[in-house]
Amino acid sequence: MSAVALSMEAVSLSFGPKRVLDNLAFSVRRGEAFGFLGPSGAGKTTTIKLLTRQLTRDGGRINLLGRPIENATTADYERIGILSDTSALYERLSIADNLKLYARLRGTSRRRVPYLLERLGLADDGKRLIKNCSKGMRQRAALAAALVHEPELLFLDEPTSGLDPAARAEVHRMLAELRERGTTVFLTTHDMAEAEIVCQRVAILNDGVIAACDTPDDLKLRYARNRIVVRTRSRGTLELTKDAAGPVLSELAQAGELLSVHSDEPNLEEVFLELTGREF
Amino acid sequence: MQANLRKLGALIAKDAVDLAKNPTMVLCVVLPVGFSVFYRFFMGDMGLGGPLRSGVGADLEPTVATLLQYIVLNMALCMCIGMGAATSLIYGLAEEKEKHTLRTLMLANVTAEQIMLAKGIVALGLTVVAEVLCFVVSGASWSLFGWFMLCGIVGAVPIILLSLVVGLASRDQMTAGMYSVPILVIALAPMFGNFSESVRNVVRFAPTGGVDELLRMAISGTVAPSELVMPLLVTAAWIVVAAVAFKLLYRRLLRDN
Repeated sequence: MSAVALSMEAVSLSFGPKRVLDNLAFSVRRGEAFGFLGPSGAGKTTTIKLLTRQLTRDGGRINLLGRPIENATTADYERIGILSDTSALYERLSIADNLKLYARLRGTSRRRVPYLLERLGLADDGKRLIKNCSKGMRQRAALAAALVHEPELLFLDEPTSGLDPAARAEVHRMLAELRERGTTVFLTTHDMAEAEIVCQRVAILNDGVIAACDTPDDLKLRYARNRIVVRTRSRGTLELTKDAAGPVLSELAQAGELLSVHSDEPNLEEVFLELTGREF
Repeated sequence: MQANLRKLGALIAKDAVDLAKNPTMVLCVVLPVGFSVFYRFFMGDMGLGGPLRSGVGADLEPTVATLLQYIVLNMALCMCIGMGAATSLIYGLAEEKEKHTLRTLMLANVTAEQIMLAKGIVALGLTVVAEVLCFVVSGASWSLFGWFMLCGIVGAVPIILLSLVVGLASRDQMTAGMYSVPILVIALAPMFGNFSESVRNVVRFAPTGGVDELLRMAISGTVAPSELVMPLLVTAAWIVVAAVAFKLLYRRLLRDN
């Protein structure tokens, strides 16, 4: 079994004259949570559509669960779960009935439905019709439908949009558990904090091009500013370059002036903004 | 094979429950049944009911009685196919597209063929239920039941195939309202054949025209092998045309959405 769950090599796609994805290349290891970040219109959803065969690429290679995507079988797709940006359930059916429908379609036991309802905070609303649900409840129900067959590879397109902080935290916990059990997660999000919590590696996509791909920590280090911030007893706050900080720090320490020293690392959001050329 | 059947069963169950909970679709059954009751008693009150309404107009000429039975059953047949098969399918599919449930199903590894087959079977089932109810309330002779159901089921097939194409071509329920009109008109066309012979000579070539001719023959007791050829050919030709149109268009329409 290949250690890589999915990969793209030199994948390109155009809509008419507009190049929407250009020379995309990355791979996701089995059991890894991989974040695909980017501003609106960067091509995140388009990439998921390519990976789930909703669109066909112009060039390049895509491998899915160890084989070229064009050779992927129906059985391969039974191992995949997808929550797309437009995932929707049947409005005249209850949450539980929708999940039972997807369990039956996926050939999995209905016994998992109560567990999923419980985990996603929907246990008391299982009989509620989808048309009477809030946006957050619908989103959680759609996520449960994507998880009903315990997929090996999970595509999540903005899974926590519309959720309140408690529900988001629960979804993050669930994703962490899934990852621990070996599920590969491919996640697109605008939320950098979510990416830092959930993902082991992230790729930042800008205008159809991958601007960076690494672990969140390494990205932050790579884009760290050459600066440390020193708070002193009588000289206020000093900003020093890392290269020149040594002598100054030892002098301050000897004089008993030193209160605190902080390296000035960006968070993932600042890295994202720097790479995409956007501003707060 | 087993997985296919399992998915098909799940889809049929879902579509049937969803349909039963949809007031518009319930109306698709209620309307032809209501019209059957109305026709039966309307003509009865005019003293024309004959065998349709016992005790009233019992002394009618057999030809008039036959004609009245045909008018009620012709209306019931056309409306059941038009409302039960066409409307339920076109609006049902358009709603699935509008609300993205069709895409969600396909992302759950359900094929377009499975979805279309399930919808077709449920639409046919709805048509059959409507036809049985219409026949029961129409007061027509039970000796015609077999013919009526046969014509109703065979006549629904080309309309179901055409409706699947039109449903997929509809972006939302609003456009479905517009696109369903031609299908409804051709499904109901044989009803207009009662107004004049020349209209009848045209509408006999409509998708439901062949089965309507068969029903007319069955009611008048003039079914003869030589007379069956043309209506059967018309029906078979429409089934082939609708199947080819469906085969050619549905993948493209799915991809566009």
